[in-house]
Amino acid sequence: MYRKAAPIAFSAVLALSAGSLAPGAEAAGLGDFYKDRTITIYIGYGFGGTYGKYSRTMAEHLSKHIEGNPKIIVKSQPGAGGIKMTNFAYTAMPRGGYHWLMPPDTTVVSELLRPKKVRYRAREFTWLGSTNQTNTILVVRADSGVTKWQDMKKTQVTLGNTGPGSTSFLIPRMAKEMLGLKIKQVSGYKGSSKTILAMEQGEHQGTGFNWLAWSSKVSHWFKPGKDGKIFANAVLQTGVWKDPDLPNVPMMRDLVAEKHKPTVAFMATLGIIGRGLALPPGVPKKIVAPLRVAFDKMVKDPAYVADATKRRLRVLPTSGKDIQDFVEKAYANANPKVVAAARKMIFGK
Amino acid sequence: MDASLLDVAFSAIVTLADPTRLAFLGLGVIIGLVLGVIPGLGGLVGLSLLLPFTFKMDPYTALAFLMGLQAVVVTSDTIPAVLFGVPGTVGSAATILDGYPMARKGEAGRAFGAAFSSSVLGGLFGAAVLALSVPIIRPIILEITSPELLAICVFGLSLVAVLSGGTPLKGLAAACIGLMVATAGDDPQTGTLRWTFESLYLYDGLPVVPLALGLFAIPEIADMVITRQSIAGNASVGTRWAQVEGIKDVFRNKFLLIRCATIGSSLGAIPGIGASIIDWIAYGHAVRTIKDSGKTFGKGDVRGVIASESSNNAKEGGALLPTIAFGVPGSASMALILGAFLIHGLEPGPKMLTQRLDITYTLVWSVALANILGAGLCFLFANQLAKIALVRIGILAPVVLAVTYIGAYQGSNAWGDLYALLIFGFIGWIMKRLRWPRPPLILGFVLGGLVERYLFISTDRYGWEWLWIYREGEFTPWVTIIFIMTLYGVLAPIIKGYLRRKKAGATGQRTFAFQRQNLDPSLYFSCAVLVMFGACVWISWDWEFGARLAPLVIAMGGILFTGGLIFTDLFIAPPERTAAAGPALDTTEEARQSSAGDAFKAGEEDVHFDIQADYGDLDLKSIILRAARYFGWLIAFLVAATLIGLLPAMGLFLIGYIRFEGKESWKLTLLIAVPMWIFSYLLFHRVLLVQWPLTLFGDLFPVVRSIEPLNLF
Repeated sequence: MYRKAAPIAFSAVLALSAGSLAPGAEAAGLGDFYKDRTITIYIGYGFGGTYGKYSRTMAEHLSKHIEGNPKIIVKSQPGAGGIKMTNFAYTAMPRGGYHWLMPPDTTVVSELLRPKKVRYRAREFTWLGSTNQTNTILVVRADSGVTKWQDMKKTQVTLGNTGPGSTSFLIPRMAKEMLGLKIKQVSGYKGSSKTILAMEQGEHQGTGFNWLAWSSKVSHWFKPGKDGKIFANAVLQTGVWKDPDLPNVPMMRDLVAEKHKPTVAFMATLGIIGRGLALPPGVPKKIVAPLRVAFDKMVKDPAYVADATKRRLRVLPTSGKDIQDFVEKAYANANPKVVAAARKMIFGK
Repeated sequence: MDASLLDVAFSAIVTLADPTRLAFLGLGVIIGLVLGVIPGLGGLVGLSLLLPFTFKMDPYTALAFLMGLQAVVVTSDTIPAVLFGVPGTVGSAATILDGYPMARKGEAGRAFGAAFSSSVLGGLFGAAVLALSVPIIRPIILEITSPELLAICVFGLSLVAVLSGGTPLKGLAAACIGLMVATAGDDPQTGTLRWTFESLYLYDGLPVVPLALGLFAIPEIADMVITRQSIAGNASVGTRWAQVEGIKDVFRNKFLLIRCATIGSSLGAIPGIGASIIDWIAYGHAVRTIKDSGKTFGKGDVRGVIASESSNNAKEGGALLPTIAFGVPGSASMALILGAFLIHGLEPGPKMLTQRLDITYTLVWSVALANILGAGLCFLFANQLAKIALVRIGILAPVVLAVTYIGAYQGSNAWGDLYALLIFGFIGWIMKRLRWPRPPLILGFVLGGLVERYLFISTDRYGWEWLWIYREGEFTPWVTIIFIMTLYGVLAPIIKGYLRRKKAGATGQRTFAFQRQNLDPSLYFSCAVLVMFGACVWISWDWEFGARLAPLVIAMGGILFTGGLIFTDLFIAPPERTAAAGPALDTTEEARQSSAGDAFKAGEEDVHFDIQADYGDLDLKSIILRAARYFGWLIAFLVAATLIGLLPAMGLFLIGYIRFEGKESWKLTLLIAVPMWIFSYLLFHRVLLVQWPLTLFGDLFPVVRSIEPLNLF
């Protein structure tokens, strides 16, 4: 009993003090709000991928940082690249504060580029924080003759993708149009694993996924093999901040012309939303600040970091407030003209 | 296999022999068997659920636990397939065609004996293939690119010609329906939303679970209800000796088993083919290679069961190969196994075949042991299970229906799953009644998306060069070889049939005349299908080229086949049969339907690879009346679900049906309905954490959604 009670009391005190410091938050913290209650986190994908793994790892570790130590469970509602779950979260998820979501990293991009399918307003979600940053990293096979992005100005490459609307399609298409690269795209691979296999088979020469996908599946590609050669290189990345593992890979926002920067900025929300948690609109305001504190504490908790690392999950946290600010900014910059231009550039219509 | 490999293989079994690991393997097997029996649930659900529990285990135990579950789901999924004609998972759909007719003949025990022994032998074969191909698998998989995948899928699709049996036009039209349904969703080429009707449900295409359950489960239960007979009728279900008979059947057909297990493990190893077609390909292979299969297959031939069951267990060993060697999961379940790899710090790829061979061989042994244990348990209980075939239909039908509803809902946790179940249930019932073969539809459905996908990638990437034996200067013969095999498979029987008929002298002269007596439901259904294909042409005409190409080609094919069917029905008189070939001038409806639309097979046996409706001497009015009542109950269940939730409606449905339709006593009704409901509540709501569909009740009283134990609305 004693061993369990100590961290609870500790976190309650912290949550309380943090709540009182946060501007506009109720000083009382959470009180009995979550005592003996269950929080359900919804993910828009199956349990096999990183959404499943991050959400379940968080479900194990977050409870101890929330006053009242609620039970946390995860439900999966896959479909339409996460849009189905996000629509549900916006339109029908209970607003009591006991139902949360792990928004797809494409939440903002989908709303702006695929408005017909989206029934939510991303800026109305309240972000609690994110535990991984998912910049899109463009990787190209070395035997294509491309070792840095500029090489694609002269050398034509064929890049595979999982379909229009996916990041593996969007980011190379933007690079092609904005940087004038010689890229041919082949669409329709089923999922990242098969796209990466086709790349190894030589059917295409590269594609764009987040670094976790690359490093967990084919980390050996980026180290010299038996023949001393490297199989593939990361040549370009899109996000808000550089991926700490890839300090030498240039950011697209630094390379494009001024007129393209707003488009690149709203695409960059992909990276910062990453794998995090959010509340649906209309939840009681008083819970937001203490929950953000709890989230921040969790991502710094050595037990969480150790478990995540053991499960091959990266911990690159961003606070809820930072995500909220970037989402707001992306909307402010993405006026209808910018979005229309982006849509035309990407989909040609 | 060299000595060092043998050493590793041996030390892997020593590692696995640890009592804790074996206990977890056993637990995995038991959970897998339970999930396999429940239609709609399968390895995916089980692995999703168990994955977090393996976080804290060592990798050997974790993988033994998960593989134990995954390997046996396709063993026990035979049980509902044989007993009710309801596939436990989509991997056992082909088992129904002969397994269920066997149960109806009172041979459920024999079917189980054959199925379980085929499963265990197929599973062991798959494990052996896995073990032996580990050192050589990487270069092989690297050879199989999109054009090769396309050729394999086209080969699979060519089996439609076989599975259509004696009614090729109906079979081809059914395949076109399946192909067309497969084009629904967000087109991977252009992003066009095809046939989604403004709903997100069809955005990723129709899930296969509600389609398969609709096509097979709903019609089988309908016919049980209409004939008001238990599954086995008045036949006995046999004894344990019947199972031994089934085992003997397998050994009598050992070469068939080896061939089908080879098909299962090798197709399983190819990422991007998918579990749901392997049993059909094996079944089609059996039909094609066994002499006179047309006379017995689809009517309760044990060889049909052996073909399907050996292939679907063998595929599990094969499916591990690309997962281990490349980190490319062959199926959604394998994606979870891959997840487990990564969680335990195991990186798939070349290392798994060199430095981490211990893990790879742990997987091999896990698959082998799980198959033995799983089949052993099934044998133990099969005798008791076979007695279910004697249960009164008024009790059995609602129980199976209730599970089918909830199982179909696992397709994608959406209302659409239930609508699809009912729509395809009705279509399936009509098809069964009018002798349209259903297997071509499901084959078209599962292969349609793949063929389109790989065709576009191949032509996008290689132009038309993908068809040639040299691609970008490299020798790539596989596409050509597979296409030649396909052509041979399709053309050889046609040519042989033609030559045989020519040799025998022309029997069955056909005459052209208006067939007034054929203005009946069969013709109206063909006309409805024709109109549907016409509408597909009309709607898809305006889509972008990449999006409309496949639907247009399929629709044109559909129009051609149904048009031909209608024409022959209306204007070609049935053949005059010789005494040897069948009853002369048989004018019964059955005879007309088997010959209608089939100008190619005059005088041949009535070949139909699907379960046939047998209503005894029931008159048409009673059939329609009883069918209407049955579908009325199904619709009432759905309406109740939209008002008060799927799980509460299931309780009401069970009580209502058993008491008022089955006319059982209140005591018995509650004795069945209440425990069944509690079990479903605990399994689906508390353990599997199913997200239930939103209902009117929940909209009116949203507070219930905030309380987790009551969050059913």
